Amino acid sequence: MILPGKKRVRLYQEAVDRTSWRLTHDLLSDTGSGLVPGLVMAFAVVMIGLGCAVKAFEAANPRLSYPASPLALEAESDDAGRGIWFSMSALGENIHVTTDEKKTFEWPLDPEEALESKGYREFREFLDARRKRIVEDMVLSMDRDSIEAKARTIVALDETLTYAHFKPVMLALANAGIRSYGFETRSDGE
Amino acid sequence: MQLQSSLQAKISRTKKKLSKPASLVPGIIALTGMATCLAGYMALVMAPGTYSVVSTEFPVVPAAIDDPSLHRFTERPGHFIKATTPAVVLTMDALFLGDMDSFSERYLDSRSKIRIGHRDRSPQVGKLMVTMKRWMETRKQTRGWRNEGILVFAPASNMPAAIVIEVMNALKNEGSFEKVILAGGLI
Repeated sequence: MILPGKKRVRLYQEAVDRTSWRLTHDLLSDTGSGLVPGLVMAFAVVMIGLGCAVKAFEAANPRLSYPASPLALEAESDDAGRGIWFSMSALGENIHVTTDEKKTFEWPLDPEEALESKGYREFREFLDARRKRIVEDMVLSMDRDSIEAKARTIVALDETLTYAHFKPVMLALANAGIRSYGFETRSDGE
Repeated sequence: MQLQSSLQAKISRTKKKLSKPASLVPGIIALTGMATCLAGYMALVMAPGTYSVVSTEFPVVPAAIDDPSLHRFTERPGHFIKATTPAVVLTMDALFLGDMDSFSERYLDSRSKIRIGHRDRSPQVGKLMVTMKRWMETRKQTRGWRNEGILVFAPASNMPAAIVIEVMNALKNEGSFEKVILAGGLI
């Protein structure tokens, strides 16, 4: 059905007017049209919220993005606390260690070569420094807990590694004066 | 004529709808829903899970320092590793049970230790526990050596870490030993 000529012209004129108004007005700053700024602000809020959530999850779970897959085994609950946590896995021809402070160390798979490597030396220095920091913190805060409890080290050892791969780490822990340590296992994976 | 009026009514309804200011509500609801879905997905991916620990410690040489002036406290060692301390050695073929002496001074004496062979390349931990209880009872009755709550566990270097941790956990759960020491350099 074709509209009468005058009405058709009026509708067309109105459409042209609306388009010209939209093209001449800045929608982002126009107070009459709150849709675009509202959506932009809501998007920004959502992104900031998601960023905060990622940080919170990372703080709650130090194992995020670390490659080690520990053994699935129901063992003692991890109530005794921990001072140091790191994961240990094999990546290519190297042992890859990542700590709870997001520091990474690498040394060769061969334990004898490992002892001479730069990465292993840096790992030993890291353990020394961490233990020293724990002791200093305890002294400054007049903490009466034992150093063993505060410097207790938990290792998330990848189940594909052998005992020989862990021996250099035992040596490093003993040299750093860390007496108490443990192996992390996945209780929910059984 | 009737058709034209109904079309006119439709046009007027559409115009009325278009003339209303755009509402923020659908957009906000959509974004909130999207954020909830994303947060739920992230929580699922990043959830810490449940972890437990098989703990151990290094033995230390006692170096007690007397402190008579302040607290009159001297720390004494709680446990000692001696020649009679029970030890378990894990190799690729078998589990060996004996005391520390049988893996050092009397290493070549095959009667000084008990051998429990693996079944299908898997250590028979249950059998080790039963044998160990019997062995310790016999030691107590014949020689008067009581259990001091400490055991040395020495795995071979080529053992998979998973088996080492599993056997160590079984030794700790057995209940006879307060401390299971993981040996690094015996074999």
